[in-house]
Amino acid sequence: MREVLLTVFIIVSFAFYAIHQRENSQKTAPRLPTQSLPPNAQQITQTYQDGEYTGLRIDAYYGNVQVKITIQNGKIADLEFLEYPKERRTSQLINDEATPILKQAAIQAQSANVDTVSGATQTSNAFKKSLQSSLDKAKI
Amino acid sequence: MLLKNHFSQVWIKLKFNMKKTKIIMGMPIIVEILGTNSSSLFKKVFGYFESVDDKFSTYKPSEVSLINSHQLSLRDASREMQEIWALSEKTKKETNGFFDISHQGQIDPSGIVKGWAVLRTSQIIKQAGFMDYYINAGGDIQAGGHNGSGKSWQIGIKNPFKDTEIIKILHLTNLGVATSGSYIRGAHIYRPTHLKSQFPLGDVISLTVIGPNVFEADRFATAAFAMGRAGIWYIEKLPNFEGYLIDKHGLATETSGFAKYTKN
Repeated sequence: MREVLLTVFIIVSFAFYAIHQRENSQKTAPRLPTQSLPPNAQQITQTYQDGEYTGLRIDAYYGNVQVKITIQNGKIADLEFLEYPKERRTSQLINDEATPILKQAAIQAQSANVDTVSGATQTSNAFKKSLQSSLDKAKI
Repeated sequence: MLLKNHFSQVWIKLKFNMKKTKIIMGMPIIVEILGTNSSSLFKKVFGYFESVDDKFSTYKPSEVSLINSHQLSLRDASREMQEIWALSEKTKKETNGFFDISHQGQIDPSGIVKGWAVLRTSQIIKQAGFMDYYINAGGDIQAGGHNGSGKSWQIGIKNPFKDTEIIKILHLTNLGVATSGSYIRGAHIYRPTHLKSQFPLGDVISLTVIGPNVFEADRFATAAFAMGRAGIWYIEKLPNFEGYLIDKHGLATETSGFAKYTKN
């Protein structure tokens, strides 16, 4: 019961915090310029048919990535993420008076040996797969 | 006698220390086990990941795909599918809907399957009699026992802005760690529609969570990441969990007990 009360308290405090911080959020879909595509993708775009092609929705294991490409004059003219995280432009930090302030520091490179590494890099693989599948559809 | 025994154990570990990597589910899976050179154990471990991929992939003709195309009902699904469903529903309740595998009539259990599979694999290794090992599936890690030097496993947190750089070193024994993030702004974590505007993702790039095991770390990392900045506070309040959040300015925020894992 105490756990339930605690959970409710946490949720309510988040809700208060969120209402307090609420601003207009920006919801524009990110667009990548064609320059940022892999070089080999650029070289082979000449053989693609004009039109819009939606790539497969690829499992990035923390969600999905899906891209849509627009081919103009046989080249990728635009690339759009159909699935992407909503973003809000604010660098405001959480500073709740009721709770201790959490330690913050700029990230710094470490030079020790490690056994293994954690990080979420699967996304870029999912991006490549979704892009490849949209390019496959665009092939003449 | 005890000392002699200890030395012979260390010697065995040094002699038979096997590490293998395989790409399954579109990500590298690294397994290191001390004290064995049994390729059949590795075969079993990787085979398990392959069977999980065949069952739960959202883009292969898997059981999940059959359910999503209404060719299979959950009631008739496999025991493992039903287990994942039950665990997902449990997590959904525990996170007030921030974790949810159902979206627009489709299910996508990817946010829970990876940590679950890694934990299951660790049980396979332990059942075979090996206590010193780690399994790393695309950054979700279960660290059992100690490394080849007899110390806690040293696990680096990758710099989200530079793939080859380590920015934090964790020392973990019999714990799990998972990182949730959106490195190229492509990742999409399903967020409850009614809470989206109240909990903006903000400028959060990644959230690393240490928990009692990799399954727990993974599901709470997924849920807390979906809460945006508030996620680090969620982890702060969660007993036996610690977190490390990185924003797009390269500023990191850590929970109050996190530092105990970064010191030797």
